[in-house]
Amino acid sequence: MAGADQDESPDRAERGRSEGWTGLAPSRGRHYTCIVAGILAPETVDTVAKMLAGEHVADDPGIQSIYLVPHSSEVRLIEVTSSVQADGEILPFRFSPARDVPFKSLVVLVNPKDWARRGQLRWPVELDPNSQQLERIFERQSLSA
Amino acid sequence: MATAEDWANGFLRQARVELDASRADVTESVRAMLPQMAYEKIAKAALLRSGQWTVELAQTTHLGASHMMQLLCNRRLREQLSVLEGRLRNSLKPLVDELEGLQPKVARDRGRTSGPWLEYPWEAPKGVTTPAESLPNLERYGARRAPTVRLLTDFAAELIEKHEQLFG
Repeated sequence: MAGADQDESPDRAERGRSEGWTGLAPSRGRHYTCIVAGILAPETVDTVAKMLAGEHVADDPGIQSIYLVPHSSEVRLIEVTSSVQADGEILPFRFSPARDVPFKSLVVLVNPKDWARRGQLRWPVELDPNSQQLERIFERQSLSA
Repeated sequence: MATAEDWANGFLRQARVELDASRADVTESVRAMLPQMAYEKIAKAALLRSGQWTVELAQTTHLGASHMMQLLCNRRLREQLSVLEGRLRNSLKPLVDELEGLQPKVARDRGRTSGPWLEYPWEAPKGVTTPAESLPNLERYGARRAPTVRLLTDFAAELIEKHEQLFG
């Protein structure tokens, strides 16, 4: 933990703020985030969801925002990303539990244009942002912000 | 009454047949079309396994492969596969994206009203032409062990083999 703390340079902290993190520490960071999630807090759906979201942001520069769909035993993320086309279809993929991820995770990628017209799209009931209470856990801030 | 798992397995079985066919002695344009069909079915099997998708959707859309590939670029998932990151991001995903965009209905839904595309003829300046005559990058699919074909088919085979481990 001490090593992880020492790695928290001003640059990194600034990068984290510029990437829009408001919850867990920005990761260089997956490992750091993992440690925070695993030791300082119990492994809950929420903490694992935020860890996964951090990894996805690092892997996909097209991500603009990530929403957590509440669920008691599964991570459910809606990721708004320009890395997929605006085809108007909702395509939910569920992944098995894996290392450091004790829950199944369900991820939907949505193009920003589709997200803007989400009320017109056909969503699975359990993921429908028009009826589910979503928590925004990441938003990329514009450079001018 | 068949379950979503039954349907997913059916899509995977058919994907395997299409992969095997793409390794057979077929023309280049068919060798391009078959992996597109196989990746589409592998993605549909995963979507059905999510429990949030319907058989009706699986039978009416041609989307899914590109989203699946984008998600598989995530480090945690990539680690479960034998492919290197650069090859997945820079070679495989662009190929699957390109093939999905050449599926005629997907192309039309994205606003492209004429070919080139897989499977169907289209009108070109000099008259009607076919995928076998004019599909872009046909040379990539010229031999069953051509690098592009091997890359696509080997990775698809791995996805089928590890489908339950990844998406189960």
